[in-house]
Amino acid sequence: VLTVVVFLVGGQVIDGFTDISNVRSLLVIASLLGIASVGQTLAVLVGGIDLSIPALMGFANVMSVELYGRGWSFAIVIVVLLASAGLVGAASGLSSKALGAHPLIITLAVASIVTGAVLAYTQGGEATQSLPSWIGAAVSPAGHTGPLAVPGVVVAWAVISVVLVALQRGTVFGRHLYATGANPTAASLALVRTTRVWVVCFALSAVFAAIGGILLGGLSGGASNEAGDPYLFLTISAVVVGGTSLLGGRGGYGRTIGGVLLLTVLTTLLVGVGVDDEGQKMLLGGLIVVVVAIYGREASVRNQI
Amino acid sequence: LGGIRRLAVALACCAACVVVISACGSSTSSTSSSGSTSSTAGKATAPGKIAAPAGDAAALKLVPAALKDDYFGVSTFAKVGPNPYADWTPPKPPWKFCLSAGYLKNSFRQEELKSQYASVAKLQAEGLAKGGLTVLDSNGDVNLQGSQINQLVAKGCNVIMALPVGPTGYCSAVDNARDHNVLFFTVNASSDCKNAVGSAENSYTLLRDGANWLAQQMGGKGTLVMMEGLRGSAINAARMEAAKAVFDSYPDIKVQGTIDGEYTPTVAKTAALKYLATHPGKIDAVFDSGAMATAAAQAFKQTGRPAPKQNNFAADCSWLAYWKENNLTSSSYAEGPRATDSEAYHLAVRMLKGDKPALNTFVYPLPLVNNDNLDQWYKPDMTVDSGCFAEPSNGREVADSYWAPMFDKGS
Repeated sequence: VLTVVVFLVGGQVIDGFTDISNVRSLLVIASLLGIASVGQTLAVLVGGIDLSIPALMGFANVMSVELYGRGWSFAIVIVVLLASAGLVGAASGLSSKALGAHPLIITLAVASIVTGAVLAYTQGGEATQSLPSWIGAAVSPAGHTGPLAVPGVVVAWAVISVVLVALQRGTVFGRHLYATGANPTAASLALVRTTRVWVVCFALSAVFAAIGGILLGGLSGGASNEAGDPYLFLTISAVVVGGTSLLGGRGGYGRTIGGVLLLTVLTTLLVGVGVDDEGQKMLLGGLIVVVVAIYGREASVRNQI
Repeated sequence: LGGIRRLAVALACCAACVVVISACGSSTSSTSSSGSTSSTAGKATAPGKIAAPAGDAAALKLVPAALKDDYFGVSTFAKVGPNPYADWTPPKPPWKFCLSAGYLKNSFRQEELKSQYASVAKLQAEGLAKGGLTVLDSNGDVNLQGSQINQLVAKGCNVIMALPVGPTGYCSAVDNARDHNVLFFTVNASSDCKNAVGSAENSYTLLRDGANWLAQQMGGKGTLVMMEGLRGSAINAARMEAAKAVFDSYPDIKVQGTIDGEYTPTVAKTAALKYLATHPGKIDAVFDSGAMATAAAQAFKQTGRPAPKQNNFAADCSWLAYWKENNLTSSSYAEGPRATDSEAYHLAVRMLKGDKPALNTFVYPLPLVNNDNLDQWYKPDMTVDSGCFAEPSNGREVADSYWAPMFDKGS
């Protein structure tokens, strides 16, 4: 509702804001954020947080160009990068759960390791090859999906969203996810393998971060280890603004979709009315405070039972 | 009822937000669209001709006459003073080289690092260096960098090359280095510490000239937007100040706004798409302040907007490839990371050999890349996805003779 309100306000305030070409641009930006936010949503749902998302996006961004430039088949590049990211994410989840350390610390450390490893392997990331043209077309606002004038990344995000929401609501894993986030002790007593849930969630988080990083490779030239940096604040903001509880066990990706769309439309509107980057950050910070004030005052699910 | 209450509160908050935003926005946009600037540069005497920034008068008094033009605008990005090593007796070779890095986690800095390793290896082969290059990285922590400088002094370094986190915050450690007869030399960055010397490209004149080139391509009229780098950094401020002063000097050029690209292509592309989505009017040109030209060009192309006239700064491989592929007319300056550090090593070694500079700040221009010499810079393996930067073929930004007026022993 808020997204629609802001969008309509934008249409009144800014000439051409609701034009179809602009809507396609907004959807591309939202899709990239939406895909990157999948992992953050899962991590938050189980009561954690994933600070390694930007590093894994940078890893996939640089390494996709680097490996493809070395003559690898792009299909193999994708498989290798997603598998590597999945292993890294699984290691984060496992070590966090096994050591009893907060994932905030573990994922921060993992981010540092990943960034350092990329720099060591690429010796600076001086990749000089292009990714396949279809990647660029998929994230271009002018791109098509078959006969549809809808960029491929938007369709991919829609499919991912449907699958993820169905996974949360209609599967055993989904119920285990909420049970683990709501109360890990109770979930264990109910024979939910909470460690496995954590490992899967953090692995999926890393995989979707890597997908986002590869897609960013098609967005614009110049593979960069820092390509994912803006997505730390944005993914957490999307989850929080969407209304998923940072305490875990409540919310879901459906809400994150709302948060992603609201953030994208709102920040674009801010650009349109001339609010600079600092102003945007202040207003977004204020929005998060407001949202947390509305949604975040309720006790954790585990304390309500 | 709870849900309805929450929704009502949320809608009220949103409405308040929009009102505030609109109020903020209208004032901000009116400022940016007027094309006014907070530049400290003096009034323009003619289109493209801008007076020196206020701080230049004092700074340029110290600069050798032959280099004054190359130091124009220096007060916007460096604190020029006399050479703090004027009475310094350099240690005898071989020298121990060390690097205090404020940040190494991007490809530009990694290329700089490789250049420094290569420089030390070469000096070592000549018998002028020993023990390889010792590196400490503070990862953006200025206090840690100060501590690491002290560690490097304690390790017996004769020279500390520095990629500082910022211009200040570690000066007591630099004083300690000077007390231990250690040369502290900042690379492509100025330092406010009284005992530091350093080198830096002239961000002011390079962007002034880039802006002038773009204004002339526009025929002195039209609307443009500026791709801005990292707000809050001195270099970004100097670059934007110079360019805005130039554009203000053209009465028929209107700076419509700025796009915050943070020198990162993906950030720049996202920001450009948002900007274009909310600014449907004609945009004649896009001014780039650092490696964001490709992102802007792609955003225009993919949203169906006419291609604007574009300059580039830094000669990133991505733009050179886009420029070549699309047969554009453009202009850039080559800020090769390897050449940048080679320049600093050349200067530091001259000081170690007993040559005394007049100043604490070495300022130099960068090689111009344009349509006449693009083929000398463009390489077939460069693509729009490349993350590299074009390097001068001789590995240096300027010839040795450029520095002759700066040193007491000349060339």
